[in-house]
Amino acid sequence: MIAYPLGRRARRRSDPADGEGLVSQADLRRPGVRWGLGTAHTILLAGLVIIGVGPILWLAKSAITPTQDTITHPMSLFPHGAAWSNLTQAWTNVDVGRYFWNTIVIAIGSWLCQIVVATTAGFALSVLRPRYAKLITGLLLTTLFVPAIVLLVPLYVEIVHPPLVHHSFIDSYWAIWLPAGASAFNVVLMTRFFDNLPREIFEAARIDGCGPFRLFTSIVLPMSRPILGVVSVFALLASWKDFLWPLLVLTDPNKQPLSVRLPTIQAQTELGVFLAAMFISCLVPIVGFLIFQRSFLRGPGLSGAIKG
Amino acid sequence: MATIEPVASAVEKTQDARMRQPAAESSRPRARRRPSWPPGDALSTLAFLLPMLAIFGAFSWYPIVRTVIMSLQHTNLVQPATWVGFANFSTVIHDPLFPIAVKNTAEFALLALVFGYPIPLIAAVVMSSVRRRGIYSALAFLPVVIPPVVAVLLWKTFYDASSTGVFNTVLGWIGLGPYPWLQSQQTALPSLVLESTWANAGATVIIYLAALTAVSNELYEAASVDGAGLWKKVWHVTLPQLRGVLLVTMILQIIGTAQVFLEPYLFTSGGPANATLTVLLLIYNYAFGNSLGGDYGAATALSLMLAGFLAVFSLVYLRATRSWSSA
Amino acid sequence: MAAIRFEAVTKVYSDGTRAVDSLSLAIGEGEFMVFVGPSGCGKTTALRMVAGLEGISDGAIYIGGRKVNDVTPKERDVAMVFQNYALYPHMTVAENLGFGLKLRGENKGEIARRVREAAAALDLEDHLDRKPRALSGGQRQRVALGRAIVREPSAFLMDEPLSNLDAALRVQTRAEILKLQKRLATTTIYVTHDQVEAMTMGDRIAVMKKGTLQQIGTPEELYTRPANVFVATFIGSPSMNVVPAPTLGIRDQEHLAGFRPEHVRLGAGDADSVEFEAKVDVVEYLGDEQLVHLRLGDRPLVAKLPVEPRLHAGATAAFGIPAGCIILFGVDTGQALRPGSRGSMLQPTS
Repeated sequence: MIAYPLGRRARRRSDPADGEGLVSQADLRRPGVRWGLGTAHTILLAGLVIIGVGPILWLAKSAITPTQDTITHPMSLFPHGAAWSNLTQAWTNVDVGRYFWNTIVIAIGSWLCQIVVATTAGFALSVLRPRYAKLITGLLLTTLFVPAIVLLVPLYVEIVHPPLVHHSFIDSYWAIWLPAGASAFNVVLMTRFFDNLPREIFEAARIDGCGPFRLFTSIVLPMSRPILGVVSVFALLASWKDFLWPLLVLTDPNKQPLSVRLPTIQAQTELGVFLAAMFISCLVPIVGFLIFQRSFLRGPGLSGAIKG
Repeated sequence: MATIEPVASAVEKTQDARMRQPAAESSRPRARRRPSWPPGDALSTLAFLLPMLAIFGAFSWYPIVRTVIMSLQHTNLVQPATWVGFANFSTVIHDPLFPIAVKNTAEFALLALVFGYPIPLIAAVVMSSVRRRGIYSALAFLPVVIPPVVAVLLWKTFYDASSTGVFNTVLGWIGLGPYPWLQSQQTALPSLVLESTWANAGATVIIYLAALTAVSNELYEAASVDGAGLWKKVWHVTLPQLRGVLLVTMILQIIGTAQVFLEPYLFTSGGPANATLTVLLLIYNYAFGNSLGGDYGAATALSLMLAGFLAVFSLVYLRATRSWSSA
Repeated sequence: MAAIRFEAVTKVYSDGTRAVDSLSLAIGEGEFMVFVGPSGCGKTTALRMVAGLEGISDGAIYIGGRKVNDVTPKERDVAMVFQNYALYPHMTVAENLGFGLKLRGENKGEIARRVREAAAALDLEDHLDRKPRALSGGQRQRVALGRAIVREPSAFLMDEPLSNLDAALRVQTRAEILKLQKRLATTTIYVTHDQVEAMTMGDRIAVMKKGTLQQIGTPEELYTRPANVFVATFIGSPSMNVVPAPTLGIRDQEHLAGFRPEHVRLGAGDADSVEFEAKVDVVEYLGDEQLVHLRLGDRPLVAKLPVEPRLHAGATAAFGIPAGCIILFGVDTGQALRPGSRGSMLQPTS
């Protein structure tokens, strides 16, 4: 029977928390274990809250606290009231709004390039399966094991002096969008996903009269929504976090994304406004994470499966 | 009599074959992996591969080749490059900053391993015994989602060495400090490791959690029936099952921390007095730094040395742990 | 409706396996042909070659008189029903049904009309807006059928469509498929490993084994005049008893004797029967008949006898088989002797 990929995921059969796993029913009956576990849970939860969320909460609080208060009494809660003006100042005077927009534009372009490269390559390697597929996959895997630093200098030189065109791509967003597509990880992910699609559906489509392009757009892509979600989430997040490459390639401050501008903002603005700017830059990833938790948390498991 | 035997067995064999309900024949061709598409469509296949080939060719494969070339050349972007053999490598090795960077990088990786390896494991094990672990996962992963620049700059604020710095204030409540954090050669590197662990441990927790929940319940049940208590189960069932993931995570973490750049760059720019100078930062300085900058030859040479070292290290590691990893 | 012809069709895979070996047969227009055989016999491969999903290594296939070796599946105008249904999971039932027509450029009105007709014929009208994951196995199977019907193709190709259904549903759907095919009069090739399905559904049956055609004929021909031991024991359940002729007391070292369980009679028959004595091992009581498992020497036999008189395990009894019901097969070749080719072929020893 075909497992329809878009159906609801089956409940995991074995869950160590369900009584017969690591902690069995018999274990739970012993008061020592219950007490010990309870304590461990509480400590863990408290630890996670304080350590995990604590710094971010501090940032949120300080974003709307007047600079003086943050400097002299960093841990107190609004001794002289809140300073919402930090946020508005950050947005307008310090132009965080513009950098925010830059970050979004860069993210969307990079995402698009990654999706196009990964889906077309994955489709060709997995569904169309040319005879030289093994060679290409081999080349792909070698790039997985090459540390990014090895590419940095030649890539930079390539942007400044592109081999064929006599025109530098410094300060052009294309210098960020296009190289972003060279993610072997994405292609491998897509190929694996396509490998798991039932071949009979492709055969049925072929008999119905689909050529390869129709098959790609009408059948394979619509069936790929889960994996496209995961890839998209990670592409957008990676782009939002990117620092060194935009730093090198975008010298015009008006084009720089938030991550590149923040150190400069710190040097040029008062602490309160700076913290407000930092908080604004966190908002999108945090909100995105809260909404798309499932896709985020599925990713590390997948990468563990691929590399492990 | 001799002729009857083979025929009789043939008769019985066909009867047996009929009794056995055979698996559907359409499942067999899958094992042969025949192409799903007629070979005449090579043009469309090429069309689909074009984006990947173009992008990878231009921004992945070509740069890799060029790195090797540039490490053997002297480049200055104005005149054509000249071949200098291994001179760049020699320059790097004889640079007094080189051993410092290597030592710092090793120290960083080691400290990160000490802090960032066991703690996520313990957390994940505890989390796996919680029923509604969604909130735990979310809390643990939150720091990973924060852009690294924000995390570093935020912690830079925390590390304010004055007595009204955030950490110093909190520690002051219990009578400790104030500490110099980023301003002392002794405490600068550990401070970096602390922030790095905070920002990255969450991903490791999730990976461990996924592996933990994949351990089949039946193994635990068998252990329970055999009389194992909680600790014994962790030791004899959980950890062995996790061996593969643990080994992979370790090597990945080492490889990752060996390439640390952002923390030294943003926190301390390699200081104080090169106490936080790492290999990646040195490469950056060679290529783009204000004082050294423009020496692409040295930069590419050092990055090749690093890549080579990591490759050799990985091979040795895999060889050494082959007998340990499961299956 | 097109006739389909195989001419010495062969399929060899790159690792050397011969999935289909020189298959030649002709299927008439509107005929319901069943390909049957054990797993690995080449029946599915043969079907897929007609569809164009597998290349033809040697020989030719003709659909409607046109050689289709190099014709794409789309151009062949055949419709296929897959064992696992192969429904498009992201499309509704209506979209699934209409997809093939849409690709062929039919206008929307025509597509809607044909989809509605197919849905009505298959009792799917209430499910047109649902996605496959919301349907039961039987409903999905009907959508797979519907997808084939809607195209109004020259031929239906069905690859074990019922094997994923439970027994009761299978019997019911079998009848529905037959009715449908009779009404539409479309040439159909139906692949199955289940000989009961083959016998009940086919106008003619082609029995295959290891890539070669064993016999082709009507169900009755295959049942009463099997061409070799394989066909004889494959068709019919419980299967035909095949023993060396001397076991039954026939003086003939070169042949095997085959007889169906239902032809065995209790007690010595008339002069025209072959008689033997055997011990009863196990009796299966079926209510309207009994299946008696016998042992003759060291050979197991099965007899299908009327309920009375009841036999019991451990008893020894005399049995008889009318001579005309015995089929002789060559010991070496397994091929059946043609009836009448050997005069009074049976000289029962007394």
